[in-house]
Amino acid sequence: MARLILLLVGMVALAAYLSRIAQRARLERIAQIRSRFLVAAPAPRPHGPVRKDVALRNGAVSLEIPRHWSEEYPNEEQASFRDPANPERVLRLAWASLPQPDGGLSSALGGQAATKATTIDELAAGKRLLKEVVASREGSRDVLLFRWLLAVARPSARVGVATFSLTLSEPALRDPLTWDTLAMVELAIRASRVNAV
Amino acid sequence: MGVIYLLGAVFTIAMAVDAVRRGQASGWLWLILITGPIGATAYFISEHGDGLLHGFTRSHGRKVTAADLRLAQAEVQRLDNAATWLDYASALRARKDYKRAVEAAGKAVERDAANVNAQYELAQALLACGRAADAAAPLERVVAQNRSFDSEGALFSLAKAHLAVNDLDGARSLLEEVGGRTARPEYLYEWAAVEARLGHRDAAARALQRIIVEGELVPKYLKRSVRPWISKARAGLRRLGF
Repeated sequence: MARLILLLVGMVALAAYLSRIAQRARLERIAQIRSRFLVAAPAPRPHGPVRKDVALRNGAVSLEIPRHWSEEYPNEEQASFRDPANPERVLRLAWASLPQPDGGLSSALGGQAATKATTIDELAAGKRLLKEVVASREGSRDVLLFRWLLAVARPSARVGVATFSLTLSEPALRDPLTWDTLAMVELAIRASRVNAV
Repeated sequence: MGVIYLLGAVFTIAMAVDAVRRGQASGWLWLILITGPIGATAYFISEHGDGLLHGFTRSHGRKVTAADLRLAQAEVQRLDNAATWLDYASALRARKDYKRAVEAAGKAVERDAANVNAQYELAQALLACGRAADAAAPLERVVAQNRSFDSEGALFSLAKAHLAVNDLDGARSLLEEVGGRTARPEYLYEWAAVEARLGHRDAAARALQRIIVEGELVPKYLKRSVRPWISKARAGLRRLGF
């Protein structure tokens, strides 16, 4: 009896220890992923898949995506672009027109961000790009939500914000294929055209 | 005896901790905890046993281990060129992860479309993935540069791509060309099968007879690998009525 109790106590202790180091290892991995994503801007590349032009139904945002990706438009202000090679890769795009806050575009972007750890880049044509990574859980798997918020000033003291998001499972981030897709998506977002009028 | 149990438990716990640290908790951890030292040993060999496996598999060719794959991933991240993507694709294909191998080979082709090895790797990955028809385009580019690429392997793969879209005549002429340059039994057998499907009994029988004749001429160390093809060729000849 005493041996059985000792065995059970040992197993519980082992489970608690494994859970603790799993949590710590996950936080370390997320920190690495976050720093890699937020700090580095992908360099323009001459190579890449054949692309096509896509745009929201209301014409507010247009960008280039790989030609083999499929498109879905649930309404005028939203779109999903799916990589048929990998069902996990779905780039979602949503458009919103907001009243301009006192702090300008950066302030408008900050108000839309889900986390404090973000970076804001100034792009050509007066656009601002905010990047962030949000760690969460979807069912039984750990996922990371990559978000790019692109803002442009509009007439009548308003701000147009295009939100691009890509949810990826955490293990997929160990694969260079995933990072290459992230770089390709970010380049497409940086080169996207936002209708300021 | 007690010492052995203790060592086994320590080894199991150490491997469980290692699996969790490496983010392998969903797959390996359960195997290690349920099967104990056996699962822990399997994990150790798979994840850390690069040298060990090399020793075991010396006579059967080099196996691609998880460590090799990680190295290929690191090289891709470091250099991001056609050569590193090609190595990564080849490692993925060797580990039977065909879908990702197709993607990685595609990246290699994107970075250097003139690289014949990258085109061939993409074609091989597509064939392994069951997308033979898609493999035709990269294979055409390979054989346009070198018709004997991979000891007629490219031409043979192209014939298989033609077969996938039911282009029997196209496949037949390619296999005839392959058969004119090599006596590999798998190539000759495929040629015979296509001739038979086209109703060319004599041509099919000639290809099968070649397998038998060439099989008798191969050196001793190759006999074992050729024997099943000789049996298949004999059975084929019987079916054809020879």
